[in-house]
Amino acid sequence: MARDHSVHLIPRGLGWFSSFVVFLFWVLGVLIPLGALFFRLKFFTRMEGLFSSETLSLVRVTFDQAFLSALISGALGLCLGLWIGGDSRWASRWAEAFLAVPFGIPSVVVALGWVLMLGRSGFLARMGIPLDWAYSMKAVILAHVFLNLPWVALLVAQSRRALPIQPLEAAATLGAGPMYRLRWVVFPHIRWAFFSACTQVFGLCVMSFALVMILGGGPPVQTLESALYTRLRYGEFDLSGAVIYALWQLFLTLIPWIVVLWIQFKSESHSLNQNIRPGILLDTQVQHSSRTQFRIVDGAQMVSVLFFIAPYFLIFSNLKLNSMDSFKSLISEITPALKVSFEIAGLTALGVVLVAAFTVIALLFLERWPRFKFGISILVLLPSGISTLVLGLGAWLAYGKWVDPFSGTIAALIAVIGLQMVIFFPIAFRVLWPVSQAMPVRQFEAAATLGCPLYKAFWLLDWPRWKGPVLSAFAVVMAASLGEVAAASLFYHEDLISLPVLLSRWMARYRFEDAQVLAALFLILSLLTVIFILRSRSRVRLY
Amino acid sequence: MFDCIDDKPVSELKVQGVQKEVSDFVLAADFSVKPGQRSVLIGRSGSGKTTLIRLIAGLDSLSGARDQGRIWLGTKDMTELPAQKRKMGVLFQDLGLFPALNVLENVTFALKMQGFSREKREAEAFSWLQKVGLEKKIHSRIDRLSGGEAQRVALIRALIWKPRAFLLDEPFSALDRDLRNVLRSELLELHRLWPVPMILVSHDPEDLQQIATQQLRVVEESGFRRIQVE
Repeated sequence: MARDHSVHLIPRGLGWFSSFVVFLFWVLGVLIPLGALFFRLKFFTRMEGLFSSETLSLVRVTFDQAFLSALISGALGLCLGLWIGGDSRWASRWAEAFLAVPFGIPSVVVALGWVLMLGRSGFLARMGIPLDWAYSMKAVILAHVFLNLPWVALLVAQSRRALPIQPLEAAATLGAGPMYRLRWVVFPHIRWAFFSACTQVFGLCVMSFALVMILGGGPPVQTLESALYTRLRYGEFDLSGAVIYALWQLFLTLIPWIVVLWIQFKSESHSLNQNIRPGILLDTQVQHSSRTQFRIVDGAQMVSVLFFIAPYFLIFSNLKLNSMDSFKSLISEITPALKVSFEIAGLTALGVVLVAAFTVIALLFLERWPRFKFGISILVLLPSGISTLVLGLGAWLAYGKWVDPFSGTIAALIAVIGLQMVIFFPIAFRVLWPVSQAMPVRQFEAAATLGCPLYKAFWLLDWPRWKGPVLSAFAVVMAASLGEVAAASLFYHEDLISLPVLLSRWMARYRFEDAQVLAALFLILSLLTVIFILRSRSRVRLY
Repeated sequence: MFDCIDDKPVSELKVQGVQKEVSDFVLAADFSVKPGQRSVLIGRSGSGKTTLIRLIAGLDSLSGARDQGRIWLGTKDMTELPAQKRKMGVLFQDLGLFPALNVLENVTFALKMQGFSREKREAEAFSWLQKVGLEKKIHSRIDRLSGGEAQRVALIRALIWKPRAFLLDEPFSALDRDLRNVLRSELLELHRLWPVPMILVSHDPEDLQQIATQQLRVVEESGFRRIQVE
C-alpha cells in the first residue's frame, strides 16, 4: 500500500531523539565494554597466553561440545520439525506450542532436572539404567540437545508450514515420490530456517553457562564461559586469563552470529519471491487428512514433543516438604531472593521494552537513509552474538573505575539490570519490529485528513495492534531475566542474591530437596509465562 | 436533519502555480474549483493524479528543492498546513477505513476529534447512515461490510464533518457497473447537501458524463505532466 510514506509518519524531533537514545544505549552498553576488552590487550607483555595449550584446549572443548550439540540437535530437530510442520491439525499446532516451552524454563531448573535424571541415585539409576553421566561432558551435550532440539524443530516446522501445497502437488503430478519431493521441493524451502537454527544452537551452546557449571561439575568439564567465570569469581582471581578467554569466546560466538545474519539476509531475499499465501493453502491440507491418520499421528506427535520436555518435569517427582514449619522457613529464605529477582526482572523488562520501542521509532525514521538504517539494524542485534559474561567483564573493565559492581550496593543492581538489558534487548526488538512493518499507513493518513493528530491516531487505531506484542515482549524479557544466571552470578553479593543464584547455591551445598521445591515454583512461574505469551499472541489481530 | 456542524461559508479551492517534482517528471497544476463545482480529473496511470490529491490533502508537501506554488482555500493559504489542520474530506481508493473500529466509530471519527458529545455524534451518524440505508449496520465491524457498504461508510466518514473541500481518488474503480451507478447518484445527492469544491480522480468516462461540471485532464509534455482545465 502506501508503505513508502511511512517515513513521514515519524516527526523529526521524535526520530532524532529516539536515534540518540539508541546510539547512547549501544555505545555505553556494547561498544565501550567490547572496546575495553581489546584495550586490555595493550597491557599484555606477551601474547602467548592467547595461544597457550591450556587456552587452546579450552577452545577445543568449547567448540567440540557446541558442534556436537548443534549437529545432533540439527539432525533430530529437522526430522521432528518436518513431521510436525507437514500438517496443520490441532495436535501439530499444540505440538508446535509445546516446542517453545523449553525456552521459558530457566537454565538452572533445566540443570537440576538433568541432575535428578542422570545422577548416581537419579531417576534413570532407580529405573535400573545406571548411566551415571552427571557431571560429565556427555551430560552437558545431552542437556544441550534436549534444550535446543525443540528450537530447531520449531523453526523447521514453522518454515515447513509456510510451504504451499501447490508445488508439492505439481511435483507429484510430475512423478516425484515422497523422498524426491522432500529433497527438491521441501528442503530448498526450509533450508535457510534450518541452517539458521543450527548456527544459533552452536552459538547458544558456546555461551551456555549454568548448564555447563552445574552439569559439568565445574572443573571436570570446563568451557570458555565457565573458565572465564572461575577466573573472576571462583578461586584465584586472574583478570588477564579472563580477558583471554573472553576474546576467544567473542571470536567463537560472533562467527555464528555473522553467519545467522547472512542466512537471514539470504532467506529474506528468497522469501520476497514467495507471493503465495500459506494460510489459505493450509486449509486445503486439512481437507487431505483422514480420520485414521488423525488419531495415530496426533498422538505420536504429542508424545514425541513431550519426550523432550519430560526431564524438566522430574522436578515435581518426590517433592519433599517435611512439615509446615520447614516450608515456612524455606519461604522465608526464598522471599528476599524473590524480591530481588522481581525487582531486577521488572526493571529490566521495562527498560528493554522502552529501548526496543525507541529503536523501532529510530529505524522507521532512518528509512529516509536506507544504507544507514541497514547498518544500525545489524548493530542493534549484535548483543545476540555476545555472551553475558564477556559483556559483563568488558563493562567492569570500562566502568569499574567509577562504579564497583561487586560491591553489592545499588551499583551492582544497576550493573545486573544494565547487562541484562543489553543481552535481552534483541528479544524484545525482534518481537516489536515485525509489528512496525505492518503499520497501517493508509489509516494514519485517513485519520490525518479527518483532523486527528499522529499521537492520537496511534493511540486510537494502532495501539490495539501493538498491545499484545508489547505485553508479550515484556513477559518474555521478564521471564528470561527471572531465570538469568550469568549476570546475576557475576555481580552477586550477599545482599543481592536472585532466585537462580540461590537455587544454584543450594545445589552446590547438596540441598537438593529444597532446590527441588524452589525449582518447582520456578517451573510453574515459567509455564504460566509461556501460556500468557501464547495467549496474548493469539489475541493479536493483524490487519 | 442537516444542521451545519461548521457553518463557515464554503470557499473556492485554488491550486496556484504548483510544480512538484515526482520521480521522473514534474507535475504542474494551476486551476481553481468553485464551491459546488465538481471537477473530474482524468489521465493515464502514473501521471500524477494521486500525487495532486495528496498535495491538496496535505499528505505530500511542496518541500522539494525545485517544488513551488501555493494551495488556497478562499483567502486562506493551506500550503504549509499539515493534513490534520486542512479539513479536507478525502475518499481514498482503498478507502482507508479503520478495521479496529466499527461503522459508528469510523463515521464519527472526525467529530470525535473535534470534541462533539457522544449523543451528538451518534445522532449525526444515524441520520447520515440512514440516507444510504446503512443505519442497521451502525454497530457492524468493518470487515463484515460488503464492498458497496464499505464505500458508503467511507463516503459518509469523509463528509459528515462538513469538510472545506472533497477529494476522491478513484473511489468506484473496484466496484461493478450497477453499484457504481447507485453510488454516483448517492455521491451527487450528498454533495448537493454540502456543496464544497470537489475533485474526483477517475478513469471512467461515465464519471465524466454524470458527475463533472468541470473537466481536468493531465497533459504530458517533455518532462512535465500539466493539469489542464477543459
